[in-house]
Amino acid sequence: MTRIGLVAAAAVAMASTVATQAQSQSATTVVWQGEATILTVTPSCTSNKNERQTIGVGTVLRTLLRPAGLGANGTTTRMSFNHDGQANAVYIMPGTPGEASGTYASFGAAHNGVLLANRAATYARFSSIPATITAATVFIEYRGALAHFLAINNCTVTFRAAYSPRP
Amino acid sequence: MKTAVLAGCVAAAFATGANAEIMYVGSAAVTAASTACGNSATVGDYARITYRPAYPAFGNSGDSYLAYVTTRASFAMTVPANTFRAGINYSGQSVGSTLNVASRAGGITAWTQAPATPATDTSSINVTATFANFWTISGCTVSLRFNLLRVKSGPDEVLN
Repeated sequence: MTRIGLVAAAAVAMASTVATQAQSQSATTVVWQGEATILTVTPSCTSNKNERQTIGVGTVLRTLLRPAGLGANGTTTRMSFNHDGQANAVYIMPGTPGEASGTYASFGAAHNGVLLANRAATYARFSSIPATITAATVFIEYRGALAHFLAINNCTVTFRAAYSPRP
Repeated sequence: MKTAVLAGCVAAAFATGANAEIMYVGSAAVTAASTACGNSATVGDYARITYRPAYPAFGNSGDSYLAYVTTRASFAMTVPANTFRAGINYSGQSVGSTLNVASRAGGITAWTQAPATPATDTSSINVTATFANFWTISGCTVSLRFNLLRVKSGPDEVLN
């Protein structure tokens, strides 16, 4: 037990920005949940992969959406994708709400169990229906493109996602 | 030293599999959870575990990873330069169901594994373990029980 305490004190610290983001959130976040389907993939999404690690056209993933500027959501739009419980990552996108492209920061777990912390890559062509989302919006459709999807090198996907609010 | 010997055997047995990794997948049951866990972990919860132990001579890095992934959230743990075992600390990072991200270190207060030293033909590993600060929640102590299955890491790898 003593050793545990000592090691805890010296444990590797994660990026300080993560802690800051976590502390700035409260219980009044406004989140939608839905499913996403993959529309297009680049060859790296499937090459030299076994089935459980493959993201292909038609793959369906559970997804959460936390638009910027609503409730305690903060200034970033966040979207997560969960591939059958085998990989889960949140994409934190800065900028004005609904911004179509930029650089995301991603956190989560990869297909091989590796912890993903503050992985950066690009997102593009993001658009939603309706274009303006409020806390009262019920049904949302989102499209976009994400590079290095679920930390798969050079795997860029385009997706379409449909959401409804979490009660 | 045991790890080095094991890794050498594994590398010899699977030398044809380039860029291979050794990883295991299983279903974890929460068998105990302290009150500090609140609704985040309760007895009877299940999640998928992906375990990637340190096997530096084979293809895995020297660090070990354990991911606990639910239907819409995940808790990723890592032990740098070691395997998961009792009496050491892990670094944890959670992605919650409201898309909050948090990180916190915690202790592994129990880790019982069978076989204790997996061989190249080991198809499954049984684990019971207890983690402090689970889900990055201070004071949340969770016990898990899971039976891990070796899974393919690449299309060329052949499992027995």
